[in-house]
Amino acid sequence: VLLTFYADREAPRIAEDLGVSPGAVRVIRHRAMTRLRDCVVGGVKQ
Amino acid sequence: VTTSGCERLALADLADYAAGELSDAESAVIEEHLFSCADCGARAATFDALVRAIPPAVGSAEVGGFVTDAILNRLARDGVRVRSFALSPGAVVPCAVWDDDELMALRLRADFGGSSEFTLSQRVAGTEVVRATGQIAAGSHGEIIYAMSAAWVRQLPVVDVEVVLTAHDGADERPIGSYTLVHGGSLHR
Repeated sequence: VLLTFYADREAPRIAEDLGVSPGAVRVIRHRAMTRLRDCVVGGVKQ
Repeated sequence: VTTSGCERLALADLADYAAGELSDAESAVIEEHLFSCADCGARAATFDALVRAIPPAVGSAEVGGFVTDAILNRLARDGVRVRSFALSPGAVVPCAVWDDDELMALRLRADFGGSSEFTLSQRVAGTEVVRATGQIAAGSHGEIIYAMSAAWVRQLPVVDVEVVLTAHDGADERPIGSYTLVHGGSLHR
């Protein structure tokens, strides 16, 4: 989340830095944003 | 405006869209739907507010967590004063935090095996005060970087801050290293 929305890095570059696939970067980001949203806004499931 | 409970745009779509990682065609589909759907529009607005709150929250140096060099570089560009500590497992080091430091970056070195998910427990006088779990790669430098607010450290009494790192390998937890910062109060220039 920080690499995407703070350091402005794109998924392929993040994937390279972290040694995972771009798909995994997106999955990890989705999970983290879901947790952040649930934490800040309240746990409304979609 | 009527609400139909539409959930066509999931958070995953909005995240990829906000990250600018969708094709023009995929973005156009999302934009078209957002124009005509109040439910998804409201969800997108909430998501957008979350995303926009991230840079100021991180730049405030009031929140900690796992970071990378790319994030530390961006913090430095934003004028955040970062003090780095390189720590090997078992290290007991004086935690010299100056009164104008804003963020402390702990460069935790260890044998990480092939693990990519870690939990960091931060304990003050034996009591856990912070627990963070994240999927992170130790990278080519063989270290994991954890950032913590210097202001938070400064307000501590003279005390040992213990940082314990464990790795998750499937359902198993494996100790990686324990690092101790001996906090002796804030230093003044």
